[in-house]
Amino acid sequence: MKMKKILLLTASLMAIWSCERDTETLGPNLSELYGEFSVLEPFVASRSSVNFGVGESVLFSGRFSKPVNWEIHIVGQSSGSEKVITGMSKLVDETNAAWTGTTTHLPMFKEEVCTAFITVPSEGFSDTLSGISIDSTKFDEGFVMADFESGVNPGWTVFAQSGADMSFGIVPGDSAAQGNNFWDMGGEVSFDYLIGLIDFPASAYGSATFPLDENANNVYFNVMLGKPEGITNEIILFQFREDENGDGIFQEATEDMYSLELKGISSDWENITIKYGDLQALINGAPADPAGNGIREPHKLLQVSMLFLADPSSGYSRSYMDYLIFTENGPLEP
Amino acid sequence: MKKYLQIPLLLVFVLTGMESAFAQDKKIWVSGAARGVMYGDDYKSTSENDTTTARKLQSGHAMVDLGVNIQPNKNLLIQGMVRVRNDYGGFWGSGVTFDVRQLYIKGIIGDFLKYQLGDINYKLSPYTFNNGGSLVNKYAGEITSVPLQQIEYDLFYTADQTWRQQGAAIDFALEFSSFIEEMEFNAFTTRVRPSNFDTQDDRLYSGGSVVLVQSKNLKVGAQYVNLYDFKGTSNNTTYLKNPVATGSIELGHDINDSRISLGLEAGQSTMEWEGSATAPVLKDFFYDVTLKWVAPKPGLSIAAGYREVGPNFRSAGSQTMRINYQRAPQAYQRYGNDQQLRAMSLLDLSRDASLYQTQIVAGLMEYDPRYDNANPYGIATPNRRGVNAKVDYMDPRGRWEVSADGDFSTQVVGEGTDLLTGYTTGSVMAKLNIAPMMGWENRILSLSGRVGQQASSRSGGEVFENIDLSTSFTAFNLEATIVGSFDVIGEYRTWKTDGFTLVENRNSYSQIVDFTEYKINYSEDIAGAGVRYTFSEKTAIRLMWQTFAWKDEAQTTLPYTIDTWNLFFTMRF
Repeated sequence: MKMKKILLLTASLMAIWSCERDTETLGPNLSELYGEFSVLEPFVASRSSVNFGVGESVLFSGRFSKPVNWEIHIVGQSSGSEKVITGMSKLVDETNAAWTGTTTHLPMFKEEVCTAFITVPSEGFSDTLSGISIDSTKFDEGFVMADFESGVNPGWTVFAQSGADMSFGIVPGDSAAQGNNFWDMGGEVSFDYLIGLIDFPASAYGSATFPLDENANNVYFNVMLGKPEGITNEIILFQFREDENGDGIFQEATEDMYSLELKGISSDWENITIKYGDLQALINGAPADPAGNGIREPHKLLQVSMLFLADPSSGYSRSYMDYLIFTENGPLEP
Repeated sequence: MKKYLQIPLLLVFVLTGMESAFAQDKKIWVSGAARGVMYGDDYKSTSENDTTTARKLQSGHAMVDLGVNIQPNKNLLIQGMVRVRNDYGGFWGSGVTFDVRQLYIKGIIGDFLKYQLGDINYKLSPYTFNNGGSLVNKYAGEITSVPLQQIEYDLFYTADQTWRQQGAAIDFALEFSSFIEEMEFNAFTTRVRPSNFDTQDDRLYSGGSVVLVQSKNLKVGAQYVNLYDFKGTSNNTTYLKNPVATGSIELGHDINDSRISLGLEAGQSTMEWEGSATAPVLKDFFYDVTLKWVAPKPGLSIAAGYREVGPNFRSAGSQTMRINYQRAPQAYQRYGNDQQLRAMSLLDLSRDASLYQTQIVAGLMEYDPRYDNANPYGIATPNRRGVNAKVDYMDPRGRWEVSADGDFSTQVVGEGTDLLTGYTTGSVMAKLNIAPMMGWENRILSLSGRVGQQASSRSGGEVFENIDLSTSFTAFNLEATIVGSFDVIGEYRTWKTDGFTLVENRNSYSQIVDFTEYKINYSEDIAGAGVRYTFSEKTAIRLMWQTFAWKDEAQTTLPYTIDTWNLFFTMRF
């Protein structure tokens, strides 16, 4: 019996000691959480000049001794455009720090020289790279309705009231949201809400209707807007008229017109995007039933109108507009 | 069962544990308990940042548990117990509560199979299903143990460390004529959490054991428990499974008047979330060997053991802590001019039932390092390996006794570093029974004291890897008979923790995802005295006074004192 007990115990102990387990440390590495911060690999860019228009990108890289919250800022030296890339890691590489020419803060980048710097705010660290040259800006997929770079399209209808201090036309300047020109609209009209308007008919682009996808949830209207500091009374109204019966004429009583009314826009350039399917029919700014079939049909869009309005009792008003573009599958990434 | 009955070795089925329930001659009788409690607290603070906390609080209640036991025949017992409680200040029903405290049916089928339905108290082995106590309450003395015992009674914490469950249990045993004396079978299933019919399934806890008793010198057992979500009881698509399987051996040998025994338990656990692509599968094992020598004649007992519990060992039934450290005390819950949450203390732990856990939970609960940083989840604390020892000696004439225990362990794998944290816990106790020394019969005069220490340390690497946390505690008690059944009782306890450690932050899968820096330098102490009149073995009344002091050298909490008068009448029937 004694021998049986010994054998039983020995077998049990051998079975236990033959077990193995994973011996990796548990939890996050303390040296990464509490260790001293240092730069193991310096901040560098993959190229000094980039041609975004053909799909090139700039890849930033660097390595720290522990995971930190870092920010990369790329600033255009002439446009003032700024791209911000953020991350929380110890490694900065192509998976988290690739720049394809997009902008975080408008205006959009131009063909210019940029400065890039990385900061780690918690550690008080920063490093700067200068002389990244943009040879060509990125190409935006979509239908550009107006970027004001080639003057006024003769097919557009432009109307401005006879008010005081009127400005309603293209203005050249580095401060354009995209390219070198933008639309400036301002004035004081004491007898009407309307200060000025532009009609953008499809015929101005050589087609009966705008060349857009028929799925309203797949089409996005984008426009960049800004205004001077201190202006608070601006109303910008976009109207989208559809030719439902294909006769080349918009019938107000029987066909759909959808609208986008914007107030209180930012004084800095801002990219406004709306999905075509989210457009509403408005009467005096209030939602209403569309006059036609009530189906949002971007491929039947006949004309887009932009009306710059202000309460006549509110005095002078002014706003800027640039880069009106329809995109598909998602909003514009400026 | 019929198959088993055909085994030639089998002689009889044996019933155990039901005798007390069926020992009554009457068909209906009443059992239960009663108590009356009064507290009068006087809060004091010298801090200039604490001028708004209410100074005095009065509370108390009278309560009776009435259990009606119905035994319609010799094989069936039904008990329903109702609690009637009246908090002081209630009148004509206002403040009076009626609750069903427990309800069960138990009986015997076919003269061999015992069953119980409803409320059941259950336990298996220390690593599968066991309601172990906490270090901070382990050495409660004559004053603080009185309210603590009421909490334990209210929450069904029993001396044999069972968990109160609701479900069903069966057990039976087979007795053999040769080779094997007996085989004991137990099985249970309980519901620990109900479905909400939306995102949360019924959570069940089931298991059982088989123990083979070859003789008093050899027992071999197998235990199995599983905490699991019952599919289909809600719209949930992720199902927890936490099975634990263990085997155990007990070997014994008599040497003259003493007995030496060796106990071994080993097993493994798995914790997984079926249906989740992101959840981990936690698997690990443990083993525990203990050698014990008991010599009743000189009154000496020595035990030494070694255990290793893997970092991913998860056993809900044994790792659920009694104290829920995420809760805050009810009395003076917010204090100071900034109304900060008051941390629980020795005083709260002795009298506030809301700080305690009533149901087992999956994973690992949060713990407070000041009350036990070494083994917060008891013997089944994961990621520990080391030795432990205990020596007890009692004078054969009962005049004095001494005891010493120690637990020395390290982590199995490092947390956030390759370095391992080491843990040491130890205490020594001495008790002097003066009455038998003086030859005073039917009188009590005893003095006892315990001094203990716990240390956690890790060093040798970078500064941020260092851990140095130490806790010291003392407990001194006095019991003395004045006249007849009239005694005086006294207690003095201290608890002090000082140092620094990193506390694990765990995700919902109980994996470590971060650490919190924990720096403390505080102390608390209770001094109390009182008188006790014992009507009978089950009935006594005590009038006690305690003064409790909280001091914080690190000044992260406000210092304060609470003086409290307590009147306790307790009765069992």
